[in-house]
Amino acid sequence: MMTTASSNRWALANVFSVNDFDLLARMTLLLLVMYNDSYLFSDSSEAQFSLFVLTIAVLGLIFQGLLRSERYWFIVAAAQGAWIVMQYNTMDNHKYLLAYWLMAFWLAVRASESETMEILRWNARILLGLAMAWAVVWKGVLTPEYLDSSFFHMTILTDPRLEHVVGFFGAIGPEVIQQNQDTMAVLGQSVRNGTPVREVVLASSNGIAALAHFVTYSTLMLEAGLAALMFTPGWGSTLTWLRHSALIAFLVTTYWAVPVVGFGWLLIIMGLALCPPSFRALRVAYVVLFLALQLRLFLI
Amino acid sequence: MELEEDTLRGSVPGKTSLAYWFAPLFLCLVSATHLYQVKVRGQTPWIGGGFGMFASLEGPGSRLIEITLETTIGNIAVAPPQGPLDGLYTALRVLPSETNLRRYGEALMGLDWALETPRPAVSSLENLALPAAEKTETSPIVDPTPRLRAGATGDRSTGIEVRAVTLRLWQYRFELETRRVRMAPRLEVRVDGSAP
Repeated sequence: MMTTASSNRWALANVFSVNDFDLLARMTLLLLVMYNDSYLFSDSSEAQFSLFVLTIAVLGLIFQGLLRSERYWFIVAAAQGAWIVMQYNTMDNHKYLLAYWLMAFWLAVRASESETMEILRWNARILLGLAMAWAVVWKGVLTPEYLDSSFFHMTILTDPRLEHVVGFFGAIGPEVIQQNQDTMAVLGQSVRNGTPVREVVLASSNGIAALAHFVTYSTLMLEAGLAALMFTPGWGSTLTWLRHSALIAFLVTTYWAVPVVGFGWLLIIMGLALCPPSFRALRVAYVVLFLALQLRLFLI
Repeated sequence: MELEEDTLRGSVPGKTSLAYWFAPLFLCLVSATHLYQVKVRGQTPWIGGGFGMFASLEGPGSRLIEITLETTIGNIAVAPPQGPLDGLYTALRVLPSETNLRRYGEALMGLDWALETPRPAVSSLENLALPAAEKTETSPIVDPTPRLRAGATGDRSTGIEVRAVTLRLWQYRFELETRRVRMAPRLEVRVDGSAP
């Protein structure tokens, strides 16, 4: 619940002279503007619709009065929802999560002012917990090739996005990864050209097998731990530190490896929403991560 | 450190207002639907609202389509054309149903196809290790197979008549022990242009 003006202000929010709700709202709209889709490079009807979402997000960033408007957030959430419905099968998961988060904004603004932040925090915690829980169900229950580390073994060997991770651990040389990528490309070409190559062997090493095992189980444990921490009620100091440490560890390891900035930003915004006013170091950490994730795109 | 309990009541269980549960319930409903789509209809776990990314090798990229056009000059394999059919192609790889395959086949039949200039071939498995750029430049063998490409719609003067199209959807599997990647056939559909 928001009580006094002073309790609503965070350390960094003070720097930017905005309260916590406005900061979260602006970061969310910025996410909509920058990472919702590549609408500028397509003329499809779906792309044009996402341009509409972009436009109303820009309006919210310009006109501060809109941030407290129930109608405004309803339009933003409904537009994002409608855009997803138009191509629900091919839409990335974080765009769904963003739609739920926008829905939470609408419901929060719709409620009394004293409940606004309470509703946002609740939704941030439960939505984060549910997203992680579903990810754990997929990895730990529904997909055998994840648990035997096949998934990460092949992904490490062939996904160009993970080259620097493999290089960091020194498990295999970059020339071998390049060779595997070429091999997979030729396999794809063979199918498309109707030529008879239908199987290939990838180059690997014992180091890769060990790395794949490590990544498989550390990811699963981190996501399971995060889900459990989000579902555990309470705001005690230890629980808060554990919750945010786990989320920050997930953000750093996941998005250092694969910089899906849209997803990363959304999780950061939700983490920031959960951050108690007295935990200034955590708040700074989230804002630094928000900026670092963008910089990461240019650095690696 | 004691926290400001009054500002953080979101932690207290027993919230009954729809404002607290509407979005989470929506998430669960969509995720359950996505799970059904994956398990029953073969959708990829990676996208579609279920949070199954980075769990399975069955991403859209693991599903490849072999297209064979039956033409007046014989059966010719073609690469999926880029451009207006991209959406259908993506949908097909995300949710590889017979309906989606047929829809894509019918769209391919609607394109105009023209003969492409012959190009060097990838002659042997040894070439697999070469960088992609070198494969076409260094191989001395010119592929005698006629190649087609999708041309501009409406220009049928130089085009090839396509009588039917056969689409085979392949899915790759990874064998952990041998590090072998195998393509397995998953679906096949033939769209006949002469059929009513």
